[in-house]
Order: sequence, then structure tokens, then C-alpha cells
Amino acid sequence: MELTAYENQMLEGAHGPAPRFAMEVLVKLGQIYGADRMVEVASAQIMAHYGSLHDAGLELAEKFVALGGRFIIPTTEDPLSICERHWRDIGIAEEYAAKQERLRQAVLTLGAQPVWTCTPYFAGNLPRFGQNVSWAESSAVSFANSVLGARTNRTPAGLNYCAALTGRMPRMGLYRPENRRGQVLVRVEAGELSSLDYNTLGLIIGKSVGNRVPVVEGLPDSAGVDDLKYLGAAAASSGVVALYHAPGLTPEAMAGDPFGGEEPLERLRVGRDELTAMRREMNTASGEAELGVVGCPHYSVPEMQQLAGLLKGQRLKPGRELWVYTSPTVYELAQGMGCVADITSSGARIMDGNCLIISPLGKTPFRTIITDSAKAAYYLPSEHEVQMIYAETAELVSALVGE
Amino acid sequence: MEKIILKGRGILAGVAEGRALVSDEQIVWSHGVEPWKGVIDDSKVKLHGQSIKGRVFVYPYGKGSTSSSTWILETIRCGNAPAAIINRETELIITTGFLYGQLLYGAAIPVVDQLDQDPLAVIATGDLVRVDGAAGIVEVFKS
Repeated sequence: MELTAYENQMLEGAHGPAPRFAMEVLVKLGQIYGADRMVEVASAQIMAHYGSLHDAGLELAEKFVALGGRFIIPTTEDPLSICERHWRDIGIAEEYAAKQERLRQAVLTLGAQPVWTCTPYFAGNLPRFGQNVSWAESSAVSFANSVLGARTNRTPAGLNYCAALTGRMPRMGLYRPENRRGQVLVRVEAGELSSLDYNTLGLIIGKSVGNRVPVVEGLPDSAGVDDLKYLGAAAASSGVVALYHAPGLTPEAMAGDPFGGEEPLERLRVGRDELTAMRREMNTASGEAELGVVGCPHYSVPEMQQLAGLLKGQRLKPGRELWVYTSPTVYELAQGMGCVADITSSGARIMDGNCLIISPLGKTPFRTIITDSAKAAYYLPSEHEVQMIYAETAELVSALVGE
Repeated sequence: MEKIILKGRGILAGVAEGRALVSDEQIVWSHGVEPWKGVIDDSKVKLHGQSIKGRVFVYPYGKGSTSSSTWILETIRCGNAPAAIINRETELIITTGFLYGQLLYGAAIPVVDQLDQDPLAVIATGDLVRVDGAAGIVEVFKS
């Protein structure tokens, strides 16, 4: 592998023990996977949720602190496993919370920005088209590659610490333009799509294309940033889709032929019938919803406004809960707009900076959960003994409010 | 006892021997393998409930979340890791977990992929398997 003088200095320890350790890891992985050189990465998105990192990940983060490490590129953080505002009243164990706090302190000491979100692009981590970054969390990776046209692999948890400490990653995978070409053509013929339709479409695409790059044609011009966020998150849940192209909507598909002059390996059509069938498949519950969860990926400001409009003047039914997941950044804006008051006066809780999938939801008594997110509906039943109702946001609110 | 030798890409060095545990399905480490017991905890796969501890674990590919690397690292930290890993194709997420296992906990667990014959066809659960990760060589003793 060819290294620059600066990269060699880091490898030899001239910049301290933490960059040396990180460069050793990056060079070793680059050699295994045949990278010719490193790429410079402009930002990192790192995981610091104790529910995924466990004691081993905590020891890794604390090792970088002990080595005197400092992040040298802008580095944002995925959500935490607990919500500082509410963990005590939903039955999270003290020991779990204490471990999460140690991990939070470790990444802050290393120089992370305390955004605690899977939507760092709504909190100031916004790479430009064509820029290399090192992001983790599958929906954020999909958004960076697809919607922004930046370049990142699905960086493994723990490895993006090395990127943040050195500003480098081995040039492999999606950093190479030839690996970013479309492979499967997905033709959508379903007219205008609701927010839930984008979620459902993402599930179908992920199941069908696996780890190949889909080119999604036929999405309406009305597709918004949140719609594309959900499509990508769902396709990265049911499949391993780290990048999709949507001609007319995503930048790389507008910069040239997304198939790079090649024929698609496979063609697929998705119509209204397929969307309806998949939506039905995601509904596994027979009873009434006990708990509603929204914000997977984290709710944006417009989504907080929409939810506040639906909940204003309403009360949750006795014994029902609604947990709203968003970033501290969006929380603050929503608070300034009066949305937080409208949401919480219904009895709903806002779990800012927290992830509903990573949180110890299984420790709660709720067994029938309603959500407007395909990613949540896909993962929650495999991680907790719960049944799911998968519905539009307005249907979710109707199911939970009343006398 | 019939002996078969396979050659492939040595991902991570180490020499280990053990009984094979073979999955013809993708393995999701994140939320799919229980690190504190070393048991497959994914109800969607046929090997659900099987222990991976000390086995030569053979499966086609990894799948799922980018946090699989730290689930692997936690499994190693708890002393419940497999003796060796054999894949058709080892993803960066899997390699990262086992590389950190070497660097943090001194666990030299060999990882080999891209063998000259399909390991899922040649190796059966229960076969005695010896893996040399540096050389990328797998010796299979059929039982």
C-alpha cells in the first residue's frame, strides 16, 4: 500500500500513540482488502451506544483516551442507548446507564460533537457531493451515499474511531467510483407515494437486491428528504443497501448514467399490489397498540411539526404511551417552535439523543407496538418479544389518543 | 480418516483446530450471536441455539448492522469466540471485529476466505478442521 509522508509519520508514531495504533489497523485492513492507498475523509459518524458496543467497545474507546487520542476531523455521534431525560422513569438499570455514561464521556474526551443522532446531516455534519467520509449506522451511510452523493463504506463500529483519529480510510469498496454503479433497475409504478409507502418500498428493494446497488426509477417529484431517508433506512434493514440511485432525485444519477453504460443485471417492477402485500406482511399484531414509537431514523423538524399538529389538544388513552425519537438539535428547534409542548402535553415522551432499536425496550412491559417506521417494524420483533402494527403517522396517533 | 486440504486467502493469522459448525445461511452477529454465552440467538436461522465457542465456524457471509464488529469483540472479550472462522467472503465488518480481538485481547483467531473449493460443500458440522490463518490453509478431517 502506498502511503504519503504524513501517513507514514502517523504509522511510525510521530503524532503520538493513538494515531499510530489507528494507522496500524487501517494499513492492515487496507492490505487484506487490496487497497492501493488511503483516502482523506472529511468527517466521521461514530457509534457510541453501549447497547451495541458493550464492555468491549467501551474498553476500546477508553483505550484511545488512555493513548491520548484526539479526533482530527469533524466527528458526530450516533444516538445513545438511553435518553438522559427519561431513562429513570422507563425502568433502565443503573449499571447500564452508568456504562453508557462512561462511553459518552470517552467519546467527548476524544473530541466528538454531542449530536447523538442517526441523522447527523440534520445536525451540521453535511459533506458535499463526491466527498469521502467515514460514517457508520446503515441509514446514515445510505443517506450520505445516495441523497448527498458523498462516499462512504458501511464503516464497522469501532473502525471509524481510526478514521476520526487519522482522517484516513483505505481506498476500497464505495470509495472507488467503479463500485458505485447501479446494478439492479427497480421500476416503481405506484403514482404518488405516502411516507409509509417510501418505507415499504425500501423494504421490498432491500429484500430483492441484497447488497447490490439499485437504481430506483419512477419516484414522484414530490419525494422529500425525509421520504428518501426512510427509503434508504428500510432498504438497509431488509438488505445491505449502502447506496441507491434515483434518477431525477439523487445527485450521482444526475451526473451521468447510473449504470455506467452497462446493462442492469436484473430488472424489477414494484406496483401498488406489492406495496400493499409488504405492508400487510409487516403487521404481526392481533391486539391493540400499547406503545407507539416514531423517529427511526430520527424525526426531522417538519416531522415534529406534523406530529405536534396531530397531537395538539389530544390526550393519550390511559395506559398508552408514545415515544418520539429525535436528535437534541431538532428537539431544541421544535421546542422553540412550541412543538415540544404540543407533543408532551398529550402524554407522549420525547426521547432525544436516544435510539429506539438499541434501547433496552425488551425490559418494558409493552408487547404490542405501533410504528410509522419500516426499520423499527423490521428490527424490533427480532430483538424483543413484541408484535408490530405498521401504520401511517396519522393512523398511529388515532390508535393511541382518546378517552 | 479422509483428509482434504483447501487453500484460500489468509485474512488474519493464527493456527487453530476444532470441530466444525457449518451454517449454509448468512450469520448476523449484531443481535444474532449472544456474546455472553457464545450462542446463536437468531430465531431466523437453522443453527438457532447452537454454541459457537471453540468451534471452527463456517458460514457464507456476514450480514446486518455495522455494529457486528463490536458484537464479535464482546464475544472474544467474554472468552466465547469460535476457534476459527471460514467464510466464502469475509466482510470488512467481520475482519475488524477479529482484528481488534487480536490487538485488545491477544486472541489469535484465524480467519480464512475465498477457498479453492466451496467450504460449505466440503466441510460438514462435526468434521475436525485445522486452520492456518497466515498461510490461508484449511485441513479437513472428515468424520
